[in-house]
Amino acid sequence: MSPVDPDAYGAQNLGKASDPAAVDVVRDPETIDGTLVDDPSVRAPLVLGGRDFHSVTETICGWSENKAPGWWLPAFMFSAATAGVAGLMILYLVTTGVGVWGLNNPVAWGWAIVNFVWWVGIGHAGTLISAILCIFKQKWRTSINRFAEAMTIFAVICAGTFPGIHVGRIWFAWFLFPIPNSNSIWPNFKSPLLWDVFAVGTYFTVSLLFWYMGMIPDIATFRDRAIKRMDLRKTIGPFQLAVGKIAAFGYGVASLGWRFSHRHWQNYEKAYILLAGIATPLVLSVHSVVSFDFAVAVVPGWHTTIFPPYFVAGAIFSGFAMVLTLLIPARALYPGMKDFVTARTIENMCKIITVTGSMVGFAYIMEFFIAWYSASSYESEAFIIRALGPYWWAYFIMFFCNVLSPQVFWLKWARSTPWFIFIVTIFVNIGMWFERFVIVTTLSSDFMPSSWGYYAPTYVDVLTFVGSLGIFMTLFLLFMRFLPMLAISEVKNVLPQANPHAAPPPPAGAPATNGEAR
Amino acid sequence: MGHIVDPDRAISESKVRLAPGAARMVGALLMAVGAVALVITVVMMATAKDAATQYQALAAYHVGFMTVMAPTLGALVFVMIFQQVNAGWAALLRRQFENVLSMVVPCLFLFVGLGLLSTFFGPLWKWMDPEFVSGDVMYEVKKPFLNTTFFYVRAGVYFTIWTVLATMLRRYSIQQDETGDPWLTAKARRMSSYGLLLFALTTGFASFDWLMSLDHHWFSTMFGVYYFAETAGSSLALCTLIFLVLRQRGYLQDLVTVEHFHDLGKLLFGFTVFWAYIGFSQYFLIWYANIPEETAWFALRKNGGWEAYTFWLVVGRFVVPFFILMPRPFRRNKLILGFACAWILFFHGLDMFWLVRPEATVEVGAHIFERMPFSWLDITGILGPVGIYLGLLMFRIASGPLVPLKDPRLPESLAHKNYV
Repeated sequence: MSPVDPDAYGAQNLGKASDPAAVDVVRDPETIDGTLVDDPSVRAPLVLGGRDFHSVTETICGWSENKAPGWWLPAFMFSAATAGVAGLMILYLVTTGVGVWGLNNPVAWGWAIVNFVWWVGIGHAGTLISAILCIFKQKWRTSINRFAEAMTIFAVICAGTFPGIHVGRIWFAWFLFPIPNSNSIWPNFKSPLLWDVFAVGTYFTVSLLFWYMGMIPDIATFRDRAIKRMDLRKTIGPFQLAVGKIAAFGYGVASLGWRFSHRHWQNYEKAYILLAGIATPLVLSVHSVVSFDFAVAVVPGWHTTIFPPYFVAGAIFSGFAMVLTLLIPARALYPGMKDFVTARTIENMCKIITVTGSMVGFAYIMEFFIAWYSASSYESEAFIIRALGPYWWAYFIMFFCNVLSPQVFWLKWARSTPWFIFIVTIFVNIGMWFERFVIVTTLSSDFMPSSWGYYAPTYVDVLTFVGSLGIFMTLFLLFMRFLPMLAISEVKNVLPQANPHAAPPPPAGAPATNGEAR
Repeated sequence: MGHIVDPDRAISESKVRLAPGAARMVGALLMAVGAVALVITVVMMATAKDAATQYQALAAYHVGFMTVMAPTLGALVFVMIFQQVNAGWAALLRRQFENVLSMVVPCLFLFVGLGLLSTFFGPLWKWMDPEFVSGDVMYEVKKPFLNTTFFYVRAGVYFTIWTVLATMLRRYSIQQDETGDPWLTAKARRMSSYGLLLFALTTGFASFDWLMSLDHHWFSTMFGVYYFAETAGSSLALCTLIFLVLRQRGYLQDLVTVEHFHDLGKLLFGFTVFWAYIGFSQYFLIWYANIPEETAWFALRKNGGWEAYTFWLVVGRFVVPFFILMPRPFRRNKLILGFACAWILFFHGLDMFWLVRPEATVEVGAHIFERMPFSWLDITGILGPVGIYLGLLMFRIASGPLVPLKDPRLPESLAHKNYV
């Protein structure tokens, strides 16, 4: 580490942030930041700004080490307050009972399952980026994988809340697990709801391990720098000293004695690829099991064989949308982030959104076609009611947001204009929530027309969901503040200098207007 | 990454051009076998006294046709994916996938043959027989979709789309061998984007038409995906096998290396698991819900002599290749990988047999159907299309360079390593 005051480096970067022209690389209408090259004989650079290893460390660590940006504390307070609303609503639910929700008969599954499936689905992007894209050696993923994995963990936490509270009697939450109850009755092992516990439990554990293990070298960097920062300061007050010592100790414990030795790296690489291999089937299995919750039933509109892959595609779809929803503002707000999360990274993610959105659209079409083709009157009626019945508006929102809105990314302008992408991702998030809502409310017109009705949520339903967004954002803001937001060591690995056969790096600060020829 | 290799120095004529004699001989031999088998099948159909024999031979031909259609479509999807994702490692491999996808034209002729045979000696699809479906209320509902005219119109649309995509994608690649223009890759990439969308819809509905409607009462939304899994797996196995044979015959030395085989093996492993995932999900959901109109399709395949096929399909198409392709040294061993490819291709054929043949039943009394067990008619029926297809494929492989010569991503593909 060079004897540069990290704060000074950060200040230098923040100074640049106030002058966009200095931070932004040359904006070329064709290649935007130089990475959207179409020429097939050119590979776009993965990191811009002619960075060396040191400046990568300085910038990424700076986001956490420097004073929090002005927006952070208000955002955190707002999110925490929203999370508090969820706490209050859950308290009300527990003390009063599920009557406070809008459930009725036959719609016995309402917003709780919709929220659960929505949140679990969102988590899938992190696993896809970290595991599947790793196996496919997609190096552009290095700048977004940490971010997406963190999102996975927090989304699964939010998801897990809903099955835990959905019967209102929280003291029976342990019924979720296959433990015989006081009457020596085991849970029904043939129920997909039980498989869900295993699937989501495994998923959470593996995702957490993967995320944490990948972070260890970077946490060790934080530890070393926390110690160094105390040494570098000319004057240090008692408060700064205490904070520094806590940081050094905390990061020290979390880094598990990582010393950047060659042996450590070797084990790390081995563990990483093994965990990627283990996590890959999880991308498919978790949401397949979630889809079984519906598809094993004989309910028209739920029982259809395409559900498992269709749910998986939908999960990846919504997850990528959520990553972009978080990434685009972060990219604009944190100085220097655009060097790592390039226009091409964003474009690639937009393309994945279009692909998965079209897969979901394919499934909608197949469902509708087969509902008619089956010549089963219940099946076709269920779909007609879905599209034209009392919930036609939900079906319309679903179809518009999930199938039509991502098609704008066929246009190059659309997938290279961040504010526009941000809007589309919001559409996708909404659309995927409504997809689950449409499936669940199929129940409102069941086999007996005498019990048909309209299911509407109460304010408790709505506020619990809004509160879960608060929980998610609170955790995410804490992550952004205290942990390495980008995988420092992995980003360094994709720098041209990391290749022993590479040409010498371009001079620092050289604008990247064209790709690096290979 | 690694050492950058200059393609012009690495690629020499003797490595990438097949000595025409031997390949054409094998091709002609395969075609002759196919032609003889086809003639026997047609003669049997024409001279058969009973409808059962005719129907069995027709179904066997259909098995053969679907068996060769699958790798063709799979090669189409892989070429489009390679182009779409700018795959660097696969640049060298793409040509053989392009050769396989160009077999879509022979497949069209095989399909025309199937249509003619079905018209004269069938129909293969029982709903085409007005007598058979008279009074069938479920058929009445499906009639706007399942009628002979629309059926063949749809087949025409599928083949038009596939032929245009296949021809254009291969043409860009061949043109690039001459001109070296990197923008041809960009053109192919552009075409692949909407090509994939068209592929998904056409393949999905083609599988409904040609396979699922053999039992026109049965339906499964997953069926298109199931057939897609089979196309992907079989095309990977076929193309890997082509490369292995070429290497064994002394071609492509230092070009297509063990690193490429390793990655092809990984993909093959992945798509083996994908097939199992789709197949299991389809079976499991139908088994669990236990609705008679859906379970009938599986019940047919779990009774009356077909249960052994069902069992061996699971073992052969999934369990065995899963364990063969799991260890890294096995994927890097050309002999074991080649065995796995041949094994998967055989069981791909068995899967098609399992989809088609149990549907070949004859009505011996009122609503009493008799099943026809495996016989030598099945062998000749399947061998006809498969032999002709493979023979023409040999000619196709011999017709040009074995790898793209001037693909802009060749240096990357040549330098491909798994350990960096």
